[in-house]
Amino acid sequence: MDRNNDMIVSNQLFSILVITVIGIGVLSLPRILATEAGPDSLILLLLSSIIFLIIALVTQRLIMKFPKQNIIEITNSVLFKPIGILVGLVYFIYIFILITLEVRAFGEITKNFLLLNTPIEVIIIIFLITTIYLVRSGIESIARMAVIILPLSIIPAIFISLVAIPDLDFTCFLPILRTPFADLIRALPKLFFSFIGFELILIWTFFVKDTENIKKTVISAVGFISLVYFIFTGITIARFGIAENKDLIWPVITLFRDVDIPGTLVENVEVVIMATWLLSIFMTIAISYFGAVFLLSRILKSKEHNYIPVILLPIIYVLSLVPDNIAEVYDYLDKFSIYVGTVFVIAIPVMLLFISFFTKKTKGGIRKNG
Amino acid sequence: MGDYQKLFEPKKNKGNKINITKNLQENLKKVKEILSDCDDMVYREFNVGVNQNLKFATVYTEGLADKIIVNEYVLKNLMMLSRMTEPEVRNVREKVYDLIKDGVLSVTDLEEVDDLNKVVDSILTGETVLFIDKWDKAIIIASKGWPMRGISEPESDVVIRGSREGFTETLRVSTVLIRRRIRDPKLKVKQMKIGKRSKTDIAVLFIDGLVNQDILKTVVYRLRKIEIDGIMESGYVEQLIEDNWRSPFPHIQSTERPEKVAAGLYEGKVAIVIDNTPFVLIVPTTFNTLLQASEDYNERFIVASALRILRYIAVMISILLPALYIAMLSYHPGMIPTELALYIAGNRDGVPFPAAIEAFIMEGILELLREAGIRLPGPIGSTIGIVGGLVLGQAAVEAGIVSSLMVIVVAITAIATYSIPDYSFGISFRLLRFTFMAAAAFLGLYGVMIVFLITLTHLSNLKSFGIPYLAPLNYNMSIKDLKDTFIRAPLHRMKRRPEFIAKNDKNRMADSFSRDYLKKGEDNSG
Amino acid sequence: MDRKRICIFILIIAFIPLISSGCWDKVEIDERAFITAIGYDKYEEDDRSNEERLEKETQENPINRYIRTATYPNVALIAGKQEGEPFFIYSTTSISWAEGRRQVALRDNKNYDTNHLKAMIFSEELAKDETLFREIFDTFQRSAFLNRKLHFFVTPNKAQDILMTDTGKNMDVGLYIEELMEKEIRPTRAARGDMGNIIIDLNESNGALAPRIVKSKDRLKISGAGILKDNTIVGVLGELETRNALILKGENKVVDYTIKVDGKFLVVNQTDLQTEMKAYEDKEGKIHVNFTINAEGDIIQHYFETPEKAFDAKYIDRVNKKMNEVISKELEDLFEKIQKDFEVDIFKVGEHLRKFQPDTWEKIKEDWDEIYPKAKVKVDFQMNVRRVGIER
Repeated sequence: MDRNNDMIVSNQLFSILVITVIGIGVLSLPRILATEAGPDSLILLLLSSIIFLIIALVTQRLIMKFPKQNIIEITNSVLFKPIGILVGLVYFIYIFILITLEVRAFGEITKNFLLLNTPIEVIIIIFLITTIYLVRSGIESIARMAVIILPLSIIPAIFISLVAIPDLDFTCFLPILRTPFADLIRALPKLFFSFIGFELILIWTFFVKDTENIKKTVISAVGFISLVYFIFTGITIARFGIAENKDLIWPVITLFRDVDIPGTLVENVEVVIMATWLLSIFMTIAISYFGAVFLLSRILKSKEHNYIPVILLPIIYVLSLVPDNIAEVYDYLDKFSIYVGTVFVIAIPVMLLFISFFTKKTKGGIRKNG
Repeated sequence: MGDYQKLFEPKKNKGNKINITKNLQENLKKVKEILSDCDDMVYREFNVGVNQNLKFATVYTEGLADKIIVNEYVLKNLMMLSRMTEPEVRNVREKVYDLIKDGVLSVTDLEEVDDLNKVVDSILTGETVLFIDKWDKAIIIASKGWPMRGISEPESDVVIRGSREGFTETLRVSTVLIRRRIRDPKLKVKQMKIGKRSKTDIAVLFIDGLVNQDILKTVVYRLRKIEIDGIMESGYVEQLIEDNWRSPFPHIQSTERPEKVAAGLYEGKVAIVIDNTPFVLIVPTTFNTLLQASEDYNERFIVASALRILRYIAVMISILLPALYIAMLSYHPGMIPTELALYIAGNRDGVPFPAAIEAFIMEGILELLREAGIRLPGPIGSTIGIVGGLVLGQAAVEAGIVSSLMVIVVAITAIATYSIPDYSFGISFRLLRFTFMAAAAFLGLYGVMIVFLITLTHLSNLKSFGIPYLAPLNYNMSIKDLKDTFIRAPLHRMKRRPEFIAKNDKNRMADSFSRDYLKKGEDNSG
Repeated sequence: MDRKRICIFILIIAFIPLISSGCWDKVEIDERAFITAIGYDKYEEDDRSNEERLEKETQENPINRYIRTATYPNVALIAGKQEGEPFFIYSTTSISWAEGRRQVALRDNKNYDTNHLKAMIFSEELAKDETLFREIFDTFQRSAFLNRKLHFFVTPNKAQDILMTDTGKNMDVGLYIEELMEKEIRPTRAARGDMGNIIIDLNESNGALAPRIVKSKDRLKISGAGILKDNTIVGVLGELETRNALILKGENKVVDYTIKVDGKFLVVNQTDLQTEMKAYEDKEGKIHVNFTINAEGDIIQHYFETPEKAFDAKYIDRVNKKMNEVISKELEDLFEKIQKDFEVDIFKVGEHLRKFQPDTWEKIKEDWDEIYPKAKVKVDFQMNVRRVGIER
């Protein structure tokens, strides 16, 4: 998988990042925003986007210091050797748990909207096997898939949501800035759930051919993600109002249940949206899965690691069935993103960058020698 | 000795050489031994010279060699002309060979060989071999001339606007057709023989300076690796050198149209011309190229782009429509508009099979009809289509075995499949359709999406000679790369060759070329 | 390598029966009954005939609480395959939605499918019972298979009777109502009954208008609106009142007015209408609600052979003035009726204050229920007759 010729270009990195992040967060984002910020939803979103952009740039700075290295190697260079393995392992566990939760959430949503009577086990196992096929294909195939699936999953959704425009009432974003600022700040970590997946950039840069373009890619990726979030949140909240949005579990899906494209061959378009969303969640999970596999193989120092995804599959499968109900899944996801996610998305990269400023000089000499 | 000589140099079989002796009879005996029981060989011994003291012999295969050449320019010259002109006696003994070679035989293509195996090979290719007594070499006279099919319009790959010429079964004619479109010394035609017994001629064509060297090397390497007794058709070569034999998708393009090959060569691709088949292979091939018809470039870009988009839609229809029919009818009737749903439900009332079985039956019958139609001679073939399509469908609906909507779906699918320009590509979609249908029957839309993902993953895994099959869709999706995909940009805007193939000379047009002069009125048009 | 391949092969082989034994969700379209309309009536004490049930039932655990009636069209008729009744109807008494669903399943050979449900009808009696209303309404809101665009109705008759009405068009009630409500020239004298919007209205202002459907002379008629508040129905509006309410809400765009000018009846067809609401607090702490309505229209009926021609700017001016006067009064009366009699904020004055006067809203939001009925309303209706047809 990490043969020398496995290279992606920064444009592919863009697609990978965007599709990983958008995958599962977008469906419930308007609910979180409406609950936390009420009419100031869009402002909170803007705020979190800006803050996330700063975090992303910090991470990018760290990456540029150690180009063509992954998180384990970066940590090793910044600190000393065994720490890298430890950080890698922690990241692996983090991604792994994230995958299991996402898989479960995916299963529940699919069951809810597409296959009501099919056992969730069947839905999940079929999905995971398909994922493994892509994961084993390596980063090049994943990158190609990401590039193709990104427009496939986003463009239809945006087009269909545009149909709702005549029904929109943008006055529901009034009054502006009435929410206490402290509340907005306090709500920020909850929004990081919507940006989770971006930290995987610490792994992808290892494969990127044109390192010099990473900065541009990071900025445009965060920008694009925010734009997509803006469109969906804006339309959803303007359509349903604040009060209703707080009650809907997946407001974006409900938005598509509500739009009616006159004269089309398809009546309930939300099924179509579910299908295209399936594409993006597939990519989200496959990409994270690959990240986990890659980290594990690095930790185990194994060269042939086509077997790792296969071994991980039953574990993911079993773990994903652990939560009792959909409320619990989202509960875990929320907690996970607030407490654990914050550490991995913000704390570790910032810390590593910070330390690297001090250790650079001494380490520089060592690195020159070997 | 060109730059590519080394690349194409044949492997040397040192052990197998049989030397030609100075004894004519002995040589002939050996040849006859090798070609024993080959009754289509013609041996002719004759005497030459004023004194009739030089013994000569020619050997050729009847039918393969052009008899007129042999009679008029070889035998006649040797036997008649050489008797009329008195050679200088003292030179006769030493120089008879040069004399004959350079002075008597009025044929352009001659070769001297000393290996009997080569002699036999040449005889079997249609050349005439001239043995001369007391000389340990043989002269191979190019006399290939068998009855061949004339250049005619290709049966597959039909275009309305475009050249009517198609390749024929003769390698030389095919290369000529390409050469006529590329009058550039940089067009290289390198030949080799493949097949232990068939010894099929294969020509690798490429444009020096344009061609992607990695691809060329891979092609030659893979061709060299082939060890097979006979090559019947380009399909043999295709299957032996393609990247992934498990894939249902063709990743080498085969075409009967010279201009398609020429266009490919101009993009930096490599063409493989194979004797005995009118199908020429083009590598590398991408998903995108298989959906392009050569006509696209002959029409104005708006028309061509519209047709391209139509074709992509046709692909989606041909693989997805029956599956969606099953999924919507059996799993998600909520997707169908109410009135249509009610109508379908009423229409299907009394149909004994579930939608999936119904679809499988009808699609199966359709494939059967198509197969039957191809095998039958022209007029009868189309009759089968009409009988099958109209009568059978109508009867099935009236008998209540299938619903009328199913017949419509099948008909639309069939039409969509026919609109895919590449035949073998169309077949893979036909096959894939059944997978999608099975998935839809088991898991509805979810199954369809899963199979779609598997197919897409497979496609992104595929590479054709190192080039990703999905190129250029898989890179950055910028307008620059999509100029020749879903749409076809105006010709003067496509100044670059596809970047993923052409690495060396990227410019198709001069950068300075623009059509602004029309605006400025510089062309005196008013 | 080979062993691996065999393993994969076995896995696949093992997988096929698993999948093929499945098809869990497969229901052929011709085996489904697409319910188009569903009605709920309150279960009456005297409907009770079964003695056994009486014994099992206690005050806390009633067996039956309402009557659920569902209708689905005869699809064979739609496809032109056979003659017969245009729809089928099944009615059952039950304690909950699920109970009713399961009971009907015992009686019908088709699988029920609510994906194409078009109308939901509550009898007013049931709508007055808050518990039942909330239970059933929640079911509809919660379901992933029900359309948010379905129409919600209240009826003074029995919902069952409404569903059993012969529409006279050879179609069932659900489809008929759907076409009636969705036609291009929308009826102006009945409230919009889009379920999604009713939910939003109830969420935001605790009040909503639901269209009423009545049976008059053996035919269906949508007429007026029921006022929902606190998840019950608190009153009804007549047809003209509904029209006016919709004008105030800005939802009616095309309305006809019959108006008496100089002792002659004129008909003005109003073609465009812009409603603007403004609420504010004056210095004395009183809430004011001002409506400004700009309307355009044409005179489509005047008087044959009269010296006063409609094609006259001064005359048109007079018509405008008269209309402004009459209609403003009418609208003000309506607003006050809803505000004072029912105390329902269907015009979302509260929301308006929250959005545009956040400071005021902060002050009064706790007591809004008391303040709202005391608010002063002023309607400024501005009619502009633009055209008079092709006759002077």
